[in-house]
Amino acid sequence: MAILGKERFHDLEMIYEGISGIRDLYENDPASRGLLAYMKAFTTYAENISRMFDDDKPVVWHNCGLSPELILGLENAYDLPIESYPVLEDIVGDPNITCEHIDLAEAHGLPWEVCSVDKAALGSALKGLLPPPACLLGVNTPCDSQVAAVQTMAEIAGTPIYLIDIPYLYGKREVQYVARQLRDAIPFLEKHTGRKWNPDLFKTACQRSNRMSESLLEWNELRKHVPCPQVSKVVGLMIPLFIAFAGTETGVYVAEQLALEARERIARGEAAVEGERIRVVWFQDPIWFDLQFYDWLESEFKLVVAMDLFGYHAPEGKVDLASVDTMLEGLASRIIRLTPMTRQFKGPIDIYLNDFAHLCSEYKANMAVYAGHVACKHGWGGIGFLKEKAKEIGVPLLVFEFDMFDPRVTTVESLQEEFTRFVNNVVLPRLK
Amino acid sequence: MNIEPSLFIVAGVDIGSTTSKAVILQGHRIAGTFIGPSSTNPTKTAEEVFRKALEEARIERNEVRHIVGTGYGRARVAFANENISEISCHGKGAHFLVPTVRTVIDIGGQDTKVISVDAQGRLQDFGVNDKCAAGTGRFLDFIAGSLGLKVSDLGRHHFETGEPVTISHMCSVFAESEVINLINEGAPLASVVKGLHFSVASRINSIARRVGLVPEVVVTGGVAKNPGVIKCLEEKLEVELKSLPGDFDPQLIGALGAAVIAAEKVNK
Repeated sequence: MAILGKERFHDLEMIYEGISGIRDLYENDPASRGLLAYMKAFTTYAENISRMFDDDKPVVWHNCGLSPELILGLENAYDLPIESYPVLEDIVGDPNITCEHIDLAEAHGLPWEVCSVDKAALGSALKGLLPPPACLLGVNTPCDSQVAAVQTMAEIAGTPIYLIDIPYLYGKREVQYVARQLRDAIPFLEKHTGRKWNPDLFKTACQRSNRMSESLLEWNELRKHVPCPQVSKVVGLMIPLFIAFAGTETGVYVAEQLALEARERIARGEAAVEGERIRVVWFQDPIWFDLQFYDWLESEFKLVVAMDLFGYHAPEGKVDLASVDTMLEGLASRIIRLTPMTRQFKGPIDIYLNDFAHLCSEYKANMAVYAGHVACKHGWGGIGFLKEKAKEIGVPLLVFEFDMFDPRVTTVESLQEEFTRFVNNVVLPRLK
Repeated sequence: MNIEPSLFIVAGVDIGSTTSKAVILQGHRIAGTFIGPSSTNPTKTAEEVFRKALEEARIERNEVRHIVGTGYGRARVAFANENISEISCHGKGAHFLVPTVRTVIDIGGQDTKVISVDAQGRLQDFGVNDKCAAGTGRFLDFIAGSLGLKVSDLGRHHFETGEPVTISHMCSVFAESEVINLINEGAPLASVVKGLHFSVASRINSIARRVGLVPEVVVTGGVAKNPGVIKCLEEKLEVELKSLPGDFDPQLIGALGAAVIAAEKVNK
């Protein structure tokens, strides 16, 4: 789809072409219903970004630690995750554009050791690809890189920022602390958008998030089935669903389609991988710059990624709809205890390790992967503990370094070599 | 491993970058071995080392039931029934000789591997330095040449008088310049050799820490024959390294492991 007269939309055009390409590729694939639901969501999303430039509605930026329900409570306003372009370009567009954005951010002075999603986000902002914000609502999770990124983005955009402090622990006191800040953010949003915050709209968003969570919990259960009913690559797409579509009908739709597909395939006795022999828990970032890498894993090794860190939907996410206060607490609980990466990477390492052991057990994993995103200091900081846990539970753990957005750091060929060596030497002999 | 003595004969052939090895296993007994230099024709080298090992074992070729190729040139062992990576073979070979081993450090000509095995000898994890000469036999070979020494002399010089110097460069190319400067400034040869050995041990230590060091620890590969490197490794790793029984040549571990895997296949 060409967007005439707007050259800066070349990047969006690549996204549209990518989505079309993926839809064509998988349209007749009976194992791709969930993936196609995502593509529909991404189409809507890309169209929204275009609209944001032309509409009069104010745009509220937010970062990936915060799902948009609170912002959706505003009347006639848009929410936009600042990581939109790197995510869309890598998953459906052209990763070379992400690389350009990364390089642009580094040339602008952002340190190389910052996470590439933040670099690419900044690069896309510097290129003028993000619609100008009325304000930025951020959280200081999931990581230090995000803390730097949101402040930098606010400065680049010359926009006021409200940064919510997510505390170290996960208890009731912490939930109430975050809930208070969410409440205090409401007048900030109203002031800078000029829009009224409507509790009914907020309630509708929370209802939809609850519905989305119900489907995702069911989907999590269904993927435990042996053999796994659904392909590997949809698992790692969970976080865009969470951050961009939570609180919307689109989010509900995608989650329902994922669960429906898994349910129907189990009923028909269909497996994602015929002759499945390796079940993997992928406990770190997915390979977004080449989704077909998962297809290769499946065909090469009869391997399926049953669950990953992004796809895991912890049960602590239900929002009590009784009042604004309970909804704010529910949202606070989702941020602290459910949002992928925030849940695992802040606070004591116990949740991270316990989730890992839990997933390996529940999904009957005979292999685990730590795909170490290079700038993820939180993940790499705990690698010794993770290795010990893997040995303790008897699941061989493949550890490698790569960049989930930048294919230049570790190439696909190197990743293939890592997997081939590990599977052949460590995993397959154990299966005999 | 359930092997009935004298029931069958198997072989492992390890084509390495510097040396090629063959081991003939008859039941549980190592019947014959051979180590020879690698050449630019791995297929021919494989034939040669296999033939020589058979001669030592006094076994005819047609008596061998199953042959596994391994090593850098494993795909070129044309007569092998299959090929298996050297990572698996080193783990298996070390475990065959030392059932209590849990960490195998293989210091080869062109790469260094640290292999973690469980009580059953199955691989749990591994780390490989195969992109850089630092910490490998090639590093020592290269620097020994610059010093006018044979690699086989390094172990002897290690135990002469002299405090070790610090070789700050990991890169072989820069380390060579550094070593030459040290010699020109009057550093005793023994001090420089000790410094080289510590440099190798440091490199291996960092790989071993990433994989996780669990005793018993066995060192294999050609560099394991250098007692100076062994001493430095023990200091860096802070463990006592387990010797192979009966003075078994550590260079043969890969070929032995290949033979053990061959035996497991036939035994099924």
